[in-house]
Amino acid sequence: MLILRGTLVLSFGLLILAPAPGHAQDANFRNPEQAPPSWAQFAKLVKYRFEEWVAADETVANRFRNWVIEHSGKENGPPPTLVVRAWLNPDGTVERVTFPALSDAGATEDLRTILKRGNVGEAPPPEMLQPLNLRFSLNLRKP
Amino acid sequence: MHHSVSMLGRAASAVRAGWPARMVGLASALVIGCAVIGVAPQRAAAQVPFSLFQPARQIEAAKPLARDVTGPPAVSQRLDGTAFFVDDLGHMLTARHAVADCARIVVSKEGRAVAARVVALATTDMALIKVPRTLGLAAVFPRASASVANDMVFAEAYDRLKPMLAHGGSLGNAFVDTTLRDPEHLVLRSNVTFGTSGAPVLDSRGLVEGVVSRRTTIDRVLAVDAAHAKSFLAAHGVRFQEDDRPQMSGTASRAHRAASISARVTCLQQ
Repeated sequence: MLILRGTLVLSFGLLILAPAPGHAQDANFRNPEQAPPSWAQFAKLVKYRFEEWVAADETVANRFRNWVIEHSGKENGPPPTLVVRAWLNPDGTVERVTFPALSDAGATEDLRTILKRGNVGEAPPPEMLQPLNLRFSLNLRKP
Repeated sequence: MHHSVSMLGRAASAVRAGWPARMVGLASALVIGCAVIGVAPQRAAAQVPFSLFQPARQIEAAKPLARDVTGPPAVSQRLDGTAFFVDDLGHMLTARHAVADCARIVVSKEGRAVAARVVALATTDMALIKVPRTLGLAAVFPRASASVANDMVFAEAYDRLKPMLAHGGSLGNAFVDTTLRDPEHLVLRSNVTFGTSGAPVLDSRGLVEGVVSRRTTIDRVLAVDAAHAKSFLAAHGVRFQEDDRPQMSGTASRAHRAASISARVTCLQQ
């Protein structure tokens, strides 16, 4: 059985995911080590929820995982990494996610649906910079 | 720097147990959605009012806080308590009396139920259990406990959190009591009751200061303190998180954090 597995890389704030050496870092950007622990804890929670939602045994998540499995490594397959930006509402719901479109419009919409589907369970720290920048790398590996 | 985490699911298969909870197939490690299928009777929302002035204490025998629930005929008895995640591998801390001598142990959270196994029982009222994969956020312990008299903390049974969250959550529902000296327990003024055994005691920073053990009087509860909990975890090779910095904003609901890290633990006895 194949297990679809990935990693998620995290930073906070606007647009800058990996500032080039020598670039002044944007005041609206923090990487996890510079961020307050409360931000990191909240981000871990979001990460966990996203994992949970993508792995859920329901129609949309199953369809998305099947698409990744079937197209992984192919020319029209999922990219090695996918940057997702997420904005969360004060009630813990996901207001918006953005990421580069996948080669399949249906898979793109499925992933958007999955990542916006629920409540992460806590309110984001009021001072936390948003969006959370999450970098996914989707891999297939055998258990 | 970035966090790297495992992502995505695994295939799913639900395993039916004789008891009416749905057991998730762990070998296939599926994560199932979030529909709540509560199996224990839930009580109405109970936000505990705070008062520094407690009524005269009623003396009673010390009571473990795991809840006795009569089960279906296949199971003679079941005890509901609370456990919480201490790492990302599925290790959980709970009260020893909540999971000792069980035919089966089931951890339930947000509509999912998975079988758990006992890793170790402490000499104090504490146990380390494990589920195949985490179902929640890992707790963070203080490097050095800083609890002082009258610090407001939060401790509640997992099953009571949901109605509490529906009412906006809670910053705290108990106070640290230092009038009684106890070398290995955190003493709380609290009126939590059954089902709270094994619950984390969260301080104002969102750090776990103790593990609820038992009630000694109507409004006094003992929790195994964080130092003993950490020693126990370290002795069994669990890599837990420690920090003295606040893990939550000052106005964030501790009840919500408790819900993120904890789950119901059910001991099925035959």
